Amino acid sequence: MNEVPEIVPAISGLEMLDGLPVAYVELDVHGAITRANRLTRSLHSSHAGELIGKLAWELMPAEEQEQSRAAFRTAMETGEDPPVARRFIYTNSGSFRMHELHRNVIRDAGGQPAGMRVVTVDVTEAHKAYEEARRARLWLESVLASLADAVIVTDALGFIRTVNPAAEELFGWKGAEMTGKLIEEALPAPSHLPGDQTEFSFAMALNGHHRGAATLLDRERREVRVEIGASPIVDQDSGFTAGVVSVLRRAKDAA
Amino acid sequence: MKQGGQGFVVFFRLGFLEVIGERFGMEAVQDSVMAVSAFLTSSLRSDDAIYHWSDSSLLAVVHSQANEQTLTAAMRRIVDNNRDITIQIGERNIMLRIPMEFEVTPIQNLRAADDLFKLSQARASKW
Repeated sequence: MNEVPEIVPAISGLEMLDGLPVAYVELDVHGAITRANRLTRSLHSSHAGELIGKLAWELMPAEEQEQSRAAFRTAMETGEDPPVARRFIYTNSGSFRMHELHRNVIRDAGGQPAGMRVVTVDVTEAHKAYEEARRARLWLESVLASLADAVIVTDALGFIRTVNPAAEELFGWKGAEMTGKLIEEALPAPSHLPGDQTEFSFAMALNGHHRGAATLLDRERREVRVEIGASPIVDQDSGFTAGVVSVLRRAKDAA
Repeated sequence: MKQGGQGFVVFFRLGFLEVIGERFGMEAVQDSVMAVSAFLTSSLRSDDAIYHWSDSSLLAVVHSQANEQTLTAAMRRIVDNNRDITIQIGERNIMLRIPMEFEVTPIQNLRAADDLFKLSQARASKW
């Protein structure tokens, strides 16, 4: 009797999905998990049975469940792929991890939405770093906005980069109107100066701390007599000068 | 889509040099152009060449088998990664960011233009 040669099956779809280095799930039209690859199973539990049949949003924190369910429902009604989104997902590490979700709609033979494919990538660390940087920026912006004195920050060429609300109030310009302009163009000195001993110049402050007085023109071309304290901004990494921060207040004799 | 074939000429226009000159003098302008040139040299391949073209521009001869679109994307990436340059003013090192614009031209286009120019000169001399 001749031996029947063993037929080596091509790699199945499930095997291919199991080999993916990203988490992959398929949901039915109600949002229940119908398929989950190995990485997804390892994230949630060791048994596929515990995951299959669960609604996808049951893995999310309570406050995100409704939003996620609504997005899924919209996709099933419109047939449009939802945009990339970030959601917290509970994992068997005992904590929620931030995942980026890439989703598209599965269609039946008639072209109608029949479920969804979801690939998720753990972006917890990147999200934490982004949030920390965002909070640090907001904190510094809040500090700057809270100062009673006007603060104007320029780069090393004298282009205005940041202006606080007190500076807006002192000179009548909106921050957005001043940002990007050379400081002498945004806040020109009048052609006739009332006998200042040491007029302020931007270049002075690049070389070191500088205190002085100046008369500048506001938005209405009115003269504003100010006391200025300016310091070079020194880059912490290189020690090089990256710009100038100037603190201005209306001069007492001009009040 | 145009093919580069034997290479491209990339023309870089540098901004803010007038302000640098007014603030810090012509030596600072020259230092700035040199610093940008060094940045571009480090960003391009070792067999590409950078030339000082004018007071405010640099010219790169880029040997690449890529097409014009791909090379333009590569140049865009380099320009977008443009980092602060450092120049010395007195005893201080100042960090500046010099904006750059660029234009990519396949060398074969220049050759074609050169051929046309020579042809027009030859015709003019016959008449």
